[in-house]
Amino acid sequence: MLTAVSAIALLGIGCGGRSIEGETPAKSLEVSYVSGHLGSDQGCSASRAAGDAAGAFAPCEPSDTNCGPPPSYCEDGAVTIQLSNVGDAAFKQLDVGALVLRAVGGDDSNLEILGVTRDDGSKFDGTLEPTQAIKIRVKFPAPAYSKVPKGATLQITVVTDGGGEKQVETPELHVMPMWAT
Amino acid sequence: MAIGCGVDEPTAERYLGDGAFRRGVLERSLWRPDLPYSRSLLASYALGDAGWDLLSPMTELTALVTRADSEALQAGRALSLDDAEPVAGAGSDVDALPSDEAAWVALGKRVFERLPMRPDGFLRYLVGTPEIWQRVGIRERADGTLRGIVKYRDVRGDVRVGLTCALCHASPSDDAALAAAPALQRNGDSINGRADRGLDLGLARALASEASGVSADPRLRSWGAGRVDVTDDGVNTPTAVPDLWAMPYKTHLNHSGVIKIVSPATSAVRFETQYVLGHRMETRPRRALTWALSRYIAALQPPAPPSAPSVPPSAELARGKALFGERCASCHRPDRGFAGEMVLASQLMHDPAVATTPERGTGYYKVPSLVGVRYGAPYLHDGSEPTLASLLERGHPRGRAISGDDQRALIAYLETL
Ligand code: HEC
Ligand code: HEC
Repeated sequence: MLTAVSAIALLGIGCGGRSIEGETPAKSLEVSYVSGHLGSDQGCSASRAAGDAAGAFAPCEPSDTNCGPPPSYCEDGAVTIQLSNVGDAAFKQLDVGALVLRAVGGDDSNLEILGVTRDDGSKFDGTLEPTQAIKIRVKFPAPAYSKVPKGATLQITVVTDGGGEKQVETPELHVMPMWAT
Repeated sequence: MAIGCGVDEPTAERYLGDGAFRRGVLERSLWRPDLPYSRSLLASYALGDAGWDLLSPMTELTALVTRADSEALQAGRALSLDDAEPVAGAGSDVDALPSDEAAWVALGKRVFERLPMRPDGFLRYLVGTPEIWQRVGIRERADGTLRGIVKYRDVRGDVRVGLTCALCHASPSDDAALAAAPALQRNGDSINGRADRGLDLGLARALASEASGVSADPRLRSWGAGRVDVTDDGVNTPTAVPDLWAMPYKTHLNHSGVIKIVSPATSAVRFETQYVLGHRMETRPRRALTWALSRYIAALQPPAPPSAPSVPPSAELARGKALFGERCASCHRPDRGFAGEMVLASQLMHDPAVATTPERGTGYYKVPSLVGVRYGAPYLHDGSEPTLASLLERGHPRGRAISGDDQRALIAYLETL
């Protein structure tokens, strides 16, 4: 777990995947990348059956065993970030303001935010006490594989009390692996 | 950590406690950092104060799925976790680390059999549909459990069905083989480390998909038992599940050798990332468990022959050994468990597809160990050769066939390895 001391020690070093910025002398938020994947858009058309659903696949010509994108299954994309309150006043209204997809070798596009929860699936109410660090998970519709064949980074904007903004950019993320072995 | 500076002795402590060490192992083992497989790990593993190190550890309460669970799913009831226990054993203390190698290996066996590598919707369907078990190669065991399939509560609090290493890398075996196997490798009706070549996961996925009303990708049915396409790159490359013997002799992991073994911690890092990816990058295994697993895999041995082999005339064996020395040993090195360096796929007569996948293709195939090769059929990275005789007949590795007395002698020798 990150302590305020180690976080402050890193101020200004510009370490990848994190951003720190004093809001006011009292309020200070640090946002770090934790993990993420671009989901899988295969077979999502019929019903957006994600998660533990039986799974669905892209249509291919029966004779073609090398067609199209990977035979994966329908799954929303998700990115997890850590929010650390490194100041000495509580935040009351944190929220995720925007999510931008930056395809490797492609264009930027805005992603719809499907939901924001704590990493254990519980509700995220936007509050963060001093010295507290929590992880939140942001879900978004899986981009088409053809848009991100080489992966993509995500830029996440966290809106703080009073309209301040903090951004973090993930390293390169990829579609959800089917077997992961 | 009390470890001498400059000693590159990858002890459990270094793997468990030193992120920079783990990062170094990852970077050195991914010798093709440009491949998508490598890039996805390099982007997020062991970054220190960002990335996967910040993930919460996995829940460790699991239970093997049973016939009763199957009935619950068929009746539309929720799965109960009343019979779940910690992967490390009932009453285990997560802060206490195993005290010696034997204890690490024993913990590794539990991890191999019980720690879910990933949840999967198709497994829930599979468990709840006993009519298809036989078709896809799933067996209910005498105690009612299904090998390699567990239920557990995931990081979000939902009860899931997941698969463990033992689903693919353990195989039902007859009583004689089981009796001859080291206790460490016995797993109910199966032997751990031996690939299940009767399990057809492509078919299981296809059936699950169809049951949900979606036509299945035809590639899934094309794989056949014992093979899975483990890459996510759009090229259909079903790959044979390998036996896990002879680990200490290996120089690389996976058929295309995408992971170079640079330290005894290499496989622990590989397994750790495998669980992270499998759990949608939402949680990570406790590192003591992945270290234990790596010690367990390193200890696996091929089973002794199920029955006393008919001893071939010693002249034939001697001839086979000599032939092996002339024709095979330059690649399959007898001093290295009959494994060896990698060979360019273009210099072999075998299908190069798995060596050249966009995701993990290095252009090479690794020279597999021949320890326990008598159990390894069907052979090659894609399981395309049914027997040793057919492999030699076809002219492995570069087209020069071996038949007749030479073939018999060589096979007699190979069966002793
Ligand atoms: C879905 C089936 C499946 C599961 C589950 C699975 N594996 Fe594998 N494993 C494979 C396949 C297929 C390969 C070959 C991959 C390749 O060559 O690219 C493989 C390769 C390996 C290798 C490399 C062997 C070599 O000689 O190159 C090791 C080691 C391994 N698996 C261990 C494990 C462990 C430990 C687990 C549990 C964490 C596990 N596997 C879970 C299918 C599986
Ligand atoms: C040029 C190096 C080279 C030589 C020489 C060579 N092999 Fe191989 N061998 C390989 C490679 C590489 C593979 C893996 C190929 C694949 O998976 O497609 C392999 C695979 C095998 C396998 C399959 C193992 C398994 O578990 O699937 C057997 C058996 C085998 N070799 C036996 C032999 C015998 C017997 C000879 C001598 C007649 C021989 N090899 C000569 C490189 C070689």
